[in-house]
Amino acid sequence: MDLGTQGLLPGTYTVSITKKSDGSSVVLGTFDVNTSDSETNDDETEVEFGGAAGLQLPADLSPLDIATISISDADTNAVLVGDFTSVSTTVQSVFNANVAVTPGAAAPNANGHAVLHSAVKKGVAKNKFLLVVQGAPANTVLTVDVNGSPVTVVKSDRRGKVMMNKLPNGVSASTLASMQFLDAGSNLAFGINF
Amino acid sequence: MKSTVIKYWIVVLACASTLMVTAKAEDDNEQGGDIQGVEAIQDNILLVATTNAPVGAVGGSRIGS
Repeated sequence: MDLGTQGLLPGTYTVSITKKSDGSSVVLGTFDVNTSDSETNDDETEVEFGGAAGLQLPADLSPLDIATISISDADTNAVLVGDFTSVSTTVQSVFNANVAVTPGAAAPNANGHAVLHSAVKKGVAKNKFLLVVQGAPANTVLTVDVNGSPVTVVKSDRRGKVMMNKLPNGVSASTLASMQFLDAGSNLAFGINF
Repeated sequence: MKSTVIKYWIVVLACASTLMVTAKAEDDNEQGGDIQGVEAIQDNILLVATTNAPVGAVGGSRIGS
């Protein structure tokens, strides 16, 4: 992850993020803004987290899981904030995923994949989504939980096949962390983690 | 000043788009194991100044995997 700032006063700043998965906050580290070069009027600061030369990221932090970022001054006041889930402040974004489903107790033989392509450019988001799963209970209505909250239902066919060709209404690809498919008894048939 | 930073991040994006790295999870071929699949992200956003920031402060951030 890279950061670039301009116009901050000299001092030490703390970088923290929140996670999509559980909303928790994680402090990544600090960086210093030095006094501007009077000749070049250069008050830009660049910071790299991760990578060979960058500040270390927590080992268990996935870039895919970062929702927001905040830069706070020495008084712990946030001075710059960013939201990776917001289309309006996204310059450009591309996300591709092809993940296998994880079977649950209600469908231990469930297998399949979900494919998601999401792109944001100039404030416009476009998504493509396809889920194909076999081995689900036949002719069964399954509740679809997105990030832990129910949003819609799907029904398997007589062969236990489940298909979805678009994300549920109101679900943004940028905030999508998990999908779980539950039977009437709230037992997990299968799930996907992005 | 703000437009300079925006242009900077657009240039960064253009360079980075050719270097997108794909993260690939291990496939253990066992049900119930780690998630199997491929995911890649390249995300560039603007950082917005709060009321605590000096006038003219701007920023940007990029994540990739």
